[in-house]
Amino acid sequence: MTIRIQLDVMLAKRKMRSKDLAQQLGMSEQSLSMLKTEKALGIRFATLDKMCDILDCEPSDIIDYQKKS
Amino acid sequence: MAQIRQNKTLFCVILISHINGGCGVNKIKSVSRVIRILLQIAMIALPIMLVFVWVYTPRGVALPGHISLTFIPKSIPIMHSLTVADKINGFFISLLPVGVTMMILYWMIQLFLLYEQGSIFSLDNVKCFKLCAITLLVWQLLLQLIYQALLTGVLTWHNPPGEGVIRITLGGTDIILVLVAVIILLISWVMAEGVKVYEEQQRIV
Repeated sequence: MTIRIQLDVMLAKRKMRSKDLAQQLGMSEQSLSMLKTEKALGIRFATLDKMCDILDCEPSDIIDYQKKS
Repeated sequence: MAQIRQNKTLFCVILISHINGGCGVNKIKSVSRVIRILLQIAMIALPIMLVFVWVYTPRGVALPGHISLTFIPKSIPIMHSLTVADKINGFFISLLPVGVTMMILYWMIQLFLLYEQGSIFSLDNVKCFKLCAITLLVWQLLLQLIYQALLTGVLTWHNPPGEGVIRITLGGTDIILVLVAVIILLISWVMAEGVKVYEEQQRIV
C-alpha cells in the first residue's frame, strides 16, 4: 500500500499513549491499533478531524502518500 | 450498484448495532440456551426411540392426540408378521432418516451455541444454516428415495408371491421441503454477503 500511517510518530512527538488517544477518540484500542498497523480499510473524516484536533497536527502528519517507485 | 451496496451496508450496520447494542442480547443468549438443551435432548432421544419402536412396537405406538409413533408408513402392504430379521433390517434402514435428522439437529445445536456465546451475525452462523439446508436437500432429493425403496422392499419381501413391492412416493410436502431448503440456502448466501459488508465496515475506523 502506498498510503502510510504515521500515527506512532505523532504519538511519540506529543508524548501520548495509544490507549489515551483511543479513549479521547471514543474508539477501542483494537480499532486504533488496526489503523496504526495499516490494517484498516479507511478512516472516517470525523475520526481524522478529531485526531488532528487532539494531536494538534495536520492530516498529512498522520497520513503520508508514498509514490510507487 | 453503489446505491444498493450503500443500502445493504446501512441495513447491516443498523441491524448489528441494534443487536450488539445490548437490546436483548442477554435475552437471545438465555433463550438460545433453552433451545440448545431441548435440541440436545431430542438428539439423544431419537436413536433411543428408534430402538424402542423397532424392538417393541414396530407397527406403531399410540400417543395422545391420535398421533402414532412408527417408522413404517401405513401405506406399505405388510402381509405377514414381522420377523426378527425384518425388524433388524427395518431398524438399520430407519437409521437413514434418523441420521439425517440428527445431523440437522447437530447443526441447529451449533447455531444456538453460537447465539449463546453472543455470536449472532458471523460466517460460522451462516455455515450452520447452509449445512442444514444442504442436508435437507440431499435427503429430499436422494436419500429419501433410497430409504423408501429399501424399506418397502425389505418389509414386503416375505409377502405372498406377487405381493412384494418397492415403492417411492413424492408428495406436495416433499416439494415444499425442497423449496424451504432452497430458500434457507438463499438466505444464508445473503447473510454471508451481509457479514462481509459488516466486517468491511468494522475495518473503517
